[in-house]
Amino acid sequence: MPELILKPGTLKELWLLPPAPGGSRKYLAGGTDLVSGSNAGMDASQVWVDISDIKELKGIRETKNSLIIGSGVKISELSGSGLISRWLPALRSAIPHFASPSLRNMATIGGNAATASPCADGVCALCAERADVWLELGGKKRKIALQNFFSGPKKTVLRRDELITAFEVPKWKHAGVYLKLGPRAYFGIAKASVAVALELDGEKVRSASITLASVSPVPLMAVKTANYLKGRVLNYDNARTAAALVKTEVSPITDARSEAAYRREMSGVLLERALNSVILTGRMSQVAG
Amino acid sequence: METENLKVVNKRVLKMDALGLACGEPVFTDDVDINGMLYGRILWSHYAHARIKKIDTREAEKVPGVKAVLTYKNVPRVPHTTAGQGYPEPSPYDSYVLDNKVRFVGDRVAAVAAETPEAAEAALKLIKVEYEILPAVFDVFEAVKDGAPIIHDEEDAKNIPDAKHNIAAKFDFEVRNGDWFKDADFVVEHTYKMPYLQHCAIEPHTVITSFDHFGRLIIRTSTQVPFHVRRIVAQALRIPVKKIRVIKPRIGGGFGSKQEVLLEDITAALTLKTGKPVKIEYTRRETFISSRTRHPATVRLKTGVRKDGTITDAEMDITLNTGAYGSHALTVMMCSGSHTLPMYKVANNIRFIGKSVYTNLPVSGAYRGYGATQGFFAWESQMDIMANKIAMDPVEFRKKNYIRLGEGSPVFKAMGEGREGVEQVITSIGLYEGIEAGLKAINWHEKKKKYKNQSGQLRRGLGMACMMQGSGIPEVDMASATLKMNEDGSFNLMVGAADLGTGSDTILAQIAAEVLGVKAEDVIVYSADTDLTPFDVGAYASSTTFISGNAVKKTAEKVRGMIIAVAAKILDRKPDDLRLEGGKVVAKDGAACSLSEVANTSLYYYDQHQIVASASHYAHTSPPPFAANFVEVEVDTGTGKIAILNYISCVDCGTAINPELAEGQNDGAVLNGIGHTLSEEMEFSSNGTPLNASFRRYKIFNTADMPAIKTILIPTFEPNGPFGAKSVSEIGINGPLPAVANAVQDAVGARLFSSPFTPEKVIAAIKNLQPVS
Repeated sequence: MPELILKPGTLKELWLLPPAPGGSRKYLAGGTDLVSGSNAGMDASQVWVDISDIKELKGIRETKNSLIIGSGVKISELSGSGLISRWLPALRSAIPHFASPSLRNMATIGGNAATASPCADGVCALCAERADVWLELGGKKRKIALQNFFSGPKKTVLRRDELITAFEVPKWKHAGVYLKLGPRAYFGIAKASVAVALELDGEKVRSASITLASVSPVPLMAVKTANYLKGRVLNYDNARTAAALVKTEVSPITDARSEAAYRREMSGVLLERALNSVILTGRMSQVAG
Repeated sequence: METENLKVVNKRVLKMDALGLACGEPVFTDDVDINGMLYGRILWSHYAHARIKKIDTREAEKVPGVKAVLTYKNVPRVPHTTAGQGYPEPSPYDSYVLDNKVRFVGDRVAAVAAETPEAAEAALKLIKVEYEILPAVFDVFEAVKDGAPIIHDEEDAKNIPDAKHNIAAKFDFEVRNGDWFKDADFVVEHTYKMPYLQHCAIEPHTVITSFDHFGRLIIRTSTQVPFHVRRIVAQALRIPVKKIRVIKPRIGGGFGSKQEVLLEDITAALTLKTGKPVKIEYTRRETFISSRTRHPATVRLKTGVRKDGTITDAEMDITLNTGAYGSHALTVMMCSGSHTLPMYKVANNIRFIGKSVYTNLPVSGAYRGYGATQGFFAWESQMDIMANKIAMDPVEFRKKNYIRLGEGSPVFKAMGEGREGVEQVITSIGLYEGIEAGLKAINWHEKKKKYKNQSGQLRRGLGMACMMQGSGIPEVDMASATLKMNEDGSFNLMVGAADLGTGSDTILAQIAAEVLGVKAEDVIVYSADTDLTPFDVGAYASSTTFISGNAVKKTAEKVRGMIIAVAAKILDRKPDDLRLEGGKVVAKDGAACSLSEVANTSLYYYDQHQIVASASHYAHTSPPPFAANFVEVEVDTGTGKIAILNYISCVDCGTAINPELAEGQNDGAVLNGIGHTLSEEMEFSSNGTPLNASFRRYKIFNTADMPAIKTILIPTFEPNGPFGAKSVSEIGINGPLPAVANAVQDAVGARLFSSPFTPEKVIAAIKNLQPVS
């Protein structure tokens, strides 16, 4: 851990700080990656900038067309939010899969994106929710689609010292689900996971977004598969075809956590199950209605 | 039966150290700070096999605060074993405090002691080592071939049966009654595999060494074997036993990994060199790589079976990977056969072929189950396969064949721990009752029917397995105890037995209290200190309850006799008319005096003497506990995930001295076994570097993962045990692998031969589905 940790209280104070010696700033939010990485000897920064008190990064609010989720929002805050429950079903369903209860009390959604791990649960779900991400550097803001934020494993398009300030997620009526295959009940890093958001028009799919984690270098948008579903009736047959299609879109590797062929197979299994669960819940609500 | 009127034994007495441990009292090895203590660090090899050509420590010695740097050049070279076993140890003498050769990634190269951990770390980085890299071998079947790299080519190693072929231990044994497989209707042959597994005791290995004011070496250490530590450190460092005192404080789990002299020698060497206290504590990573592991095993089992359910022949061929050193190489291998082969009657021929083979991988050692875990995975899987073959219910097949009360086995005599065993017959067994209780608890018959025709991706299945273990090593293990009486009628019980979190202090107090007619809390237990407590081989081989428990019982009986002698005079009654009860000595006619009156009389008033006694125990038999385990699983045929829905473990441990602790130990053993079954495996790169040496990457089961586990104690009475007790600590770990494998076969028809049963393997097995026969 560095000798010096700077802790600004506002974004204005943040941008008044001098540049970090010898490279880009290390921002400390929840610390669940940075501190454990540092303990493992993977960080040699001389300074950290602790952004955990910056008030502009906090809170979840609603505009006419979007939800704005501050980058400093803890994962456990997401699970308690009525707005998230109402508007972001895929994200809501991802939260119980996120690390462990204790870690969810510390980790932030901004950090989940900044770490740029191909297996991140939170950002995988947010990509399917069609989120944008707000970035800021020296008071200059820009907004990009979250799916374009990642450029490789542990790599992002963030410029030197640039900070993630918020996620903007459109409010649209849709069904969503997140399924993950991990090694055990919690604290398991995914072998494969899938987030699905479906806009339905009766039995038909008006639009779909499908994101997969741990099966490519960055959270993968399964565009071909989503396009296949668009305009089609959501039924078991089409779910099976979509599952076969998604297996051609992923590019998994073999590593310590799983094997490539298994991951490819599981991309299909998880997607089919995710789609089937939407069909089932749809049917149940029809029955209930 | 002797258990009927028990007052303290067989009761749920609170574990005596529970409150202190729960409140975080400073009771562990690392919880003391000695003035002027130095921090020891070890330089580990990055190479799997290399000779140290040059080692230069001059720069390291210049680091401010560094007080000593040890290499093979300045420590005694004495071949010894790190295995904490009875003397002479049945493990090869192939280890050195430090050597000029490294034999696995994580082997010792050098050691440093410094005033701060930082200075010690800095010094490690400045030790310059020039290596001659040697070819390495990681596979046991490659290692035994002619021309394979010879891992122990040193000339002074002792008791290695075939160093040229990297064979650290071997043992063959045969019972021959006619031609092989001549009566068999079916011959079944399969190979079962188990990988490297780590104990994952929550407290890492920790040692603090110092000199007392007499210049004696004090070793405070997290060990299961204080007396073996004293002996082996004396041997390795060439110092007299009388110069060493070993203190075992509270221990945070061992599971066999602390039946090993791992750090005591090198920490002591640093204290000898500097004259100062030195502490070495393993990191978790070091615990994974440089402590001990379960012996990875390949078991080929060939059995013959007749249609009527008779097992005709059995050939068991086991090859263990002992890693770079042969700690427990012979005995774990022998126990894989000696604990499994007597379990079922084999009509004609039995053969056991065992080898332990050196490789350039981490060192294996004692691990709960001790070979039986590897053996029963094969045996109990094969029992189901054979039952399927002859279309017999697997439960009935086992019931027909398991060893009965009064029966023996040629294996008991032929296979001991590293030498010939001891002939014995079964003197207590509750397996039938255990099987019946388990069938009922899991609702076997009804569920079997229900799961007959399943469709959909989630399939349920039931599996079971039976097993046995031992209770100490017969005619090898010895324990002793000393008991003295205090004024208030309380007692000090001094035992060499090593409570490592198991609760042995509590159950030993219960045994003494039962004999003396007092409460368990009136017995103050101290364990273990080689200066203060009498000898005990230590906590291993499921021995403490049976061996140390008997020693305590005998000791307490001696003390009872001394108390009665004093009381007879106080009460003016015949000794034969007196008994101890409720803290009093009571005569048949109702006359009574309190124990404190007896104590005060003996200490202050009349014929003054200390009421104190010692006794030892060793056993001619090792009565096996028996267990029947039942499991219900749900297999996700889409993802290959196995969910354990319900696990029932019925254990016959004789009389449970403390049912709560017995259940707890068995629950823990089962969960440990479930981790082996579903998720645990140490992984290595192609050059032998461990890849997942952390709790982040090596997945043990924790509370959130824990399935429903229920232990059902099946009471029996073991005539050779204290109050009818047998062991309970290890047996539970042998069940989950075969029981789950059998349940998976029941659910989806696929048989798993290699642990852990990861989703990847399950999917592959389902894909290659062909009925296994």
